[in-house]
Amino acid sequence: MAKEGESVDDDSDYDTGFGLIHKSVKSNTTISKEEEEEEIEEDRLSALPDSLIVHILSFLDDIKDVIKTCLLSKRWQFIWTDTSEIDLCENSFDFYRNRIFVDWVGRMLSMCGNVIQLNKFSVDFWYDECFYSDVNLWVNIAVNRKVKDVSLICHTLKKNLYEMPQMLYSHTSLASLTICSCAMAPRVAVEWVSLKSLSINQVKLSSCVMENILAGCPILEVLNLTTCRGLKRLKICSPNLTTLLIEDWEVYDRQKYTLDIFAPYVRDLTISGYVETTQFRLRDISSVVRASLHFYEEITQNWTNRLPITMSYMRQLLESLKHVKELELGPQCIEKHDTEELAATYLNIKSNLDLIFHMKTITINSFTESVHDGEPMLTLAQILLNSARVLENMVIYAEDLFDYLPPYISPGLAEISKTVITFPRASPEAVIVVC
Amino acid sequence: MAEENTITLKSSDGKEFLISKKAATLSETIKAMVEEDNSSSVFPLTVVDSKTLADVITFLNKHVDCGDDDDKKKSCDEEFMAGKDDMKDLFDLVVAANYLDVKDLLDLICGKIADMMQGKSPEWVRKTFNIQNDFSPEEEAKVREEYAWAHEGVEED
Repeated sequence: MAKEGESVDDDSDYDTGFGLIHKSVKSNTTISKEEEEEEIEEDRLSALPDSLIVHILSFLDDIKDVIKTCLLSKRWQFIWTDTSEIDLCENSFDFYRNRIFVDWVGRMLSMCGNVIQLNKFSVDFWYDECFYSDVNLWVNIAVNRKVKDVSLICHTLKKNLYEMPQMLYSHTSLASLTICSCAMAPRVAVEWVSLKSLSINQVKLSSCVMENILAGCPILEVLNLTTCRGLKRLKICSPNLTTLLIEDWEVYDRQKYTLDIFAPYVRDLTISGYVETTQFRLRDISSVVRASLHFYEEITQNWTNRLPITMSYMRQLLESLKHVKELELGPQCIEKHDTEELAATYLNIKSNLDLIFHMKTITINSFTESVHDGEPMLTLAQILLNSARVLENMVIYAEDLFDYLPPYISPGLAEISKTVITFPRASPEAVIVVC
Repeated sequence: MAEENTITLKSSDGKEFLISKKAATLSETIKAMVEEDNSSSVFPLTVVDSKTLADVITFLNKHVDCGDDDDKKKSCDEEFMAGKDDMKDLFDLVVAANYLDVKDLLDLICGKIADMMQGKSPEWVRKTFNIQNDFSPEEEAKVREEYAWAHEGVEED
């Protein structure tokens, strides 16, 4: 009896006999010289059926590589138009280049007319109000082709944003949507009944609009709001929405911004922003299991004066997150601060925050600068190790310390590891990774 | 009984391979064959030669062992692809994966072929895959002009 996967027959003749292959190799032992040459010249790629070629093209990262295949040969001239993913980007903010880009998007949409269902329509360019009707037309065509994933990134420095067309709000087959620098003002009921992921970036949202949107997304799972000033209160009632990312990176308007978050079903929470201008108030996040906090502070003349306020805010956030099992802290807000003072500040946090030490996983991310010899990261790690009683994993990312050296030859990383290992631990079983 | 859990696949050149039903039915085509004909234990695959079929079976067995562990699958796939640089093998596999309807294998090989085209000039792609350029110079210039936007920034290689 033959073993699994092993040949049980010793017949040595090959005959693929498959119609799509130009020719088959007759024998695996003796290939005549003539056949060998023919073999080399064989064009197996062009011989594949169109559907398979289109599938191969779908793995190319840049749509330009897909379009460029039109030049290979006559066989290839129009294969690319069967692509069901249109993802186009123009990085330059030069008006003329964006004009060309806009014409291209329109042409491409009309050329890819054979595709019954468009999986993805994504544009990323510098918008000008004179492109308004073009963008409307694109969205119209994409919606008529039952597009599933839409991404409209319309950068602009002007006041006139592109206003998302009303028809998109009632496009029921939408599965994922990314909107950046557009105006969102639904005057109809939002009907995103298939939407699972929604990302809104640099859009002025009122609490009322946000409520209207969320009411129309019954199965939404992931919500990402980045710099959506105007929103004062975010209330998430759907138990399906379990991943929430909120960031605030407003750079022009240095006004203070406060957002109250009620999200009793969210399990994964990420919040980040400039600590000076952004204040998130976590009102109800009772189901959060994993949380990431990334705060940055611009170092200005009076940052030391503001330190007590900053620390009290951090304390408040951590207090609301005391039930969290995994916490990732990446506040580079301390990156230029004085080490001693920082250590004192974190010791201060400790005395107020004994409750945080029942966490199982702690990640400390780039919490240092090379001039400080691993501080304040080491002090923070020491405090946490000394107090966390049920800790299972601590991951310390220290690579920023040694920007110019590969980690494996860097003596510093080894030094850090050695030091960390000597710290007394409340959880002797905990695994510590320094990388 | 062991026999009930295994089937025999017969390649186009008449070689027979024993494989567990669980691994074999990762192929939608074989799954349909088995469902249709429950009494048979030998299934002829007229378009897959023995060398390719042996490769496909290696892949299927590896994937059954990985279960739902995506990380494990990823490292298995890397191992499987290591050294698979021969064009003929790649195309035999892509045709077989397409015929047998094994999505993971098809995606793996298609991704590998696409990698060879990533960021390359049409001339390079033609040379790599032996594609005969049947455009006249005038025709080619015309197409190039029409698609000028897509051809910007291509590094000559």
